[in-house]
Amino acid sequence: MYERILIPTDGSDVAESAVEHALDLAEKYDAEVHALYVVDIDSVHLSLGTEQVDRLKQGRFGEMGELKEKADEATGAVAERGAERDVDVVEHISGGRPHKVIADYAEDHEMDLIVMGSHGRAGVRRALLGSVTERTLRSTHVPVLVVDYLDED
Amino acid sequence: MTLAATLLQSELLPEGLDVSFKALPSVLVVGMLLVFLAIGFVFRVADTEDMWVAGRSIGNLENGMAIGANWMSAASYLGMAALIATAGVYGLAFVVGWTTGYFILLIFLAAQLRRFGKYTAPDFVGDRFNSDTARAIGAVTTFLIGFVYAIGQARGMALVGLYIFGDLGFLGLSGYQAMVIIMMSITVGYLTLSGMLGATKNMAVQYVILIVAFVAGLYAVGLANGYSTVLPHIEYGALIADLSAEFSEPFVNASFYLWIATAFSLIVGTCGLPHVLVRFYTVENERTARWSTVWGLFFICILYFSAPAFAAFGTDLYSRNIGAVYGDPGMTSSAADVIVVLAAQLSNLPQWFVGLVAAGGIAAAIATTAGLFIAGSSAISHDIYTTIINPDATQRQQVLVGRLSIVLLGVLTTLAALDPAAPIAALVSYAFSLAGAVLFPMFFLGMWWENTNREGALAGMTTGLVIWFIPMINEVVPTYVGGLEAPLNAGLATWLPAIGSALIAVPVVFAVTIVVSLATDEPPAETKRIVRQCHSPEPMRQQQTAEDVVADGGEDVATDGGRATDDASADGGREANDASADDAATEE
Amino acid sequence: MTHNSSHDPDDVATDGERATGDAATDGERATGDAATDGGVATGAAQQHRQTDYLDSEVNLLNPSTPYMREHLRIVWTGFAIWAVAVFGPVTATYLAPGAMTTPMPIIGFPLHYFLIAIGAPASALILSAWYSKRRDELDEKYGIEHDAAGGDA
Repeated sequence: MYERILIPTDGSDVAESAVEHALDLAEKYDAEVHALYVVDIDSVHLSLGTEQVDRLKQGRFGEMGELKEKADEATGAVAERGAERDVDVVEHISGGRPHKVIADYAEDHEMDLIVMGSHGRAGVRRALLGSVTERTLRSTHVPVLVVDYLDED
Repeated sequence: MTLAATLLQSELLPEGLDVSFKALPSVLVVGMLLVFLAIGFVFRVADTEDMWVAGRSIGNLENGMAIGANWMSAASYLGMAALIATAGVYGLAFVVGWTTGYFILLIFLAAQLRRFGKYTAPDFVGDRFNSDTARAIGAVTTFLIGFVYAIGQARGMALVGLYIFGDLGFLGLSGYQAMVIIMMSITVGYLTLSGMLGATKNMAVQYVILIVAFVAGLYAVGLANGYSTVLPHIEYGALIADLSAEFSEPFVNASFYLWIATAFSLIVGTCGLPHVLVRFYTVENERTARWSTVWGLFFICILYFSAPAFAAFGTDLYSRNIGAVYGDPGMTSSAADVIVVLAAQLSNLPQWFVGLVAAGGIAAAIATTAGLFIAGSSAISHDIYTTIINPDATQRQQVLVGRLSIVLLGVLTTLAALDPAAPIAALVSYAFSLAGAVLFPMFFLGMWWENTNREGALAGMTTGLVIWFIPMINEVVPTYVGGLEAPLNAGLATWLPAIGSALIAVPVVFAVTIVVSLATDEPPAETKRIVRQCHSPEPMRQQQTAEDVVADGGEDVATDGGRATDDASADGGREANDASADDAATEE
Repeated sequence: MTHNSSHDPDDVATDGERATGDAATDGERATGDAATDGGVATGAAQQHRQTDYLDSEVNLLNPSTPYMREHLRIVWTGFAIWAVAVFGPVTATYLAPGAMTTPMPIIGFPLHYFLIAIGAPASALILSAWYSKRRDELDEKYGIEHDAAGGDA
């Protein structure tokens, strides 16, 4: 049933918590896994400046060392874990508004399932920080499996 | 001293200015902002499927316009004409300081910065000197620069806002103060909306709209009053003889020393402003960096040749219609700050046209402030929060911190602008002095002397900050504290003026940095090689910064023997990634 | 080394051997350059190829490579002219106000006003264009090409 599974990851622990679930399913269904890192343009705009957004527009992501490293690390981690289980992982990096990019990717590449982690935040923190997972949920018709991140506290 | 007492002190209402709500000009202002947003939205970063596909490159002309747009602020649009009118030849120090600095930037920094290729000014300081402390100082300085610079913009916005929206005093605030709050709210709103739409700054469009408003205003005023026909930028010369002597007589209002100090500070400040410098990180290559600067200066000169003409016309019109410009009472600083609009109004031009000129001034101020707030927010979010406090910060967290910083900046700026200490151009010059005293020496020495080390940089930056703070406390702080007369010390104010403190600060900071660097350990070899790479004429490929090339082992040379083998093995892993990346970009 | 070597695309893991070859046979290397460079084997270009810029100290007052020496000559010349154009008129006005404030014929500007308000910015603009032109010429002399499409030479 699941031939292609999409794992959006931002390299955080929250995202990592979903990876195990996704890889397990992939193994059982013999599915191909896509690990997607989305460079949040808003974040680049506000924390690095608009000129850096220009740079991305010109396609010069390769020279933006730290950004690239983070992205490679995030997708690389999934690929590594996938290799341990003999699952094929396709790594991909895109830029834009995370929930939209994820939804578009899932559509364009005919994903059967999206597996994402979630903070499970509530209240003020949720209002301030928002939830990419929730927005993605609402932006796509592809089935989404949400794995809550259970923190120490 | 109470806040209320401070708030009620300010009575800035430009005399002679027709202060009343004007429908059409209001629409024009809102229209201009909407156009900026719309164009930014249309050209927003479309979701990039493949991050390595070369997108549309930005050419010299467009980069030049972006550089020009950086300079289209309330200071150039309004403040400069103000000072040229009231302070005579001293006002020209601003014309000179704000243009000629670009040549220094060009020959010493532009190309090298492109090769260094970082993200922000604090990034450069932090990486070049291997120091988080230096980065933090750089970030704080960037924040301060944005804050002080923005106060000047807020003042400009509010004064012109009075013309367009009228005297809307509420809650016991004067018309001016109410306008500050309203205009700053509009600015933050513009920034938020821009962020929500994902609209990018389209500098070229901004520049075109603003320069058209300004120059059209100049030509119209010139024609309406018979001052000029084809080239007001030269024709106003003949008018000078008819104006009071104070307009052109040298050193009447300000000493020769102050002229030099101011011009010098503005020049070095140009070479130290974060939002000016980061533009060079994003150009295609060094050649583009150079020619973009040339174009940028050209576009800036269009404005800067127009402003003195505007001032001359305005001075004449004011003296004919309102009163004597010089002497006691003379033109107030608030009337001077709006002389561009006043000139258009006094020429009996149609109201919509005056509104256009006014709208240009407000749009310029808002756009600049928005840019400054982003620069300030990035300093807090990227340089202090992400790099130092919380390296694992998620992108969402960065966004949140960035947004909070903007709100903070907005509030601080609004409060400070309620009773501003000085005219627009002066306020903005304080920011330039800061940039010149703290950041310029670090960029210059960091690029041109490879032995500048961490201790030297820290000592230098601290010294620069201290020297900048002294006249600020001497001259500016007393205006906010009731019961104190500014300046606290007249002698100090003469030789270390806040508006031109970089003249003293720069040599001192250079000396301190050099001496300390010589007295302590040399920087690590890796750092030195990065500096050398910035000067190497070997062209860098698009996807490279100096650090990349150094890590790769440098260029192929005659004596590579041992080194190259190390590189071959060390770069093994990196090669793999690059190979896949390069495939997508279809190089070679 | 796909990033660095403009000279030989085969330059990958075999850097060690090739480099020693270079040291021994510089003559051939230069001809090799001539071939890939399209014939720009001038003395300056050769010097440039032989200079390891990463090993040459960067010091504004003590240029260590021929390229930098020539570049700095241009820089200092431009700087000197700039200083005169920017600070000259106002200093002259300070020293000789009478002479400097005489009105100019035809355009009516007081001389000092014209030199400061129009002369200084215009000089900076002209100098900037001059400098950029000279840098382009210098690059050509040393056989350096800035290829916008991402490759070099």
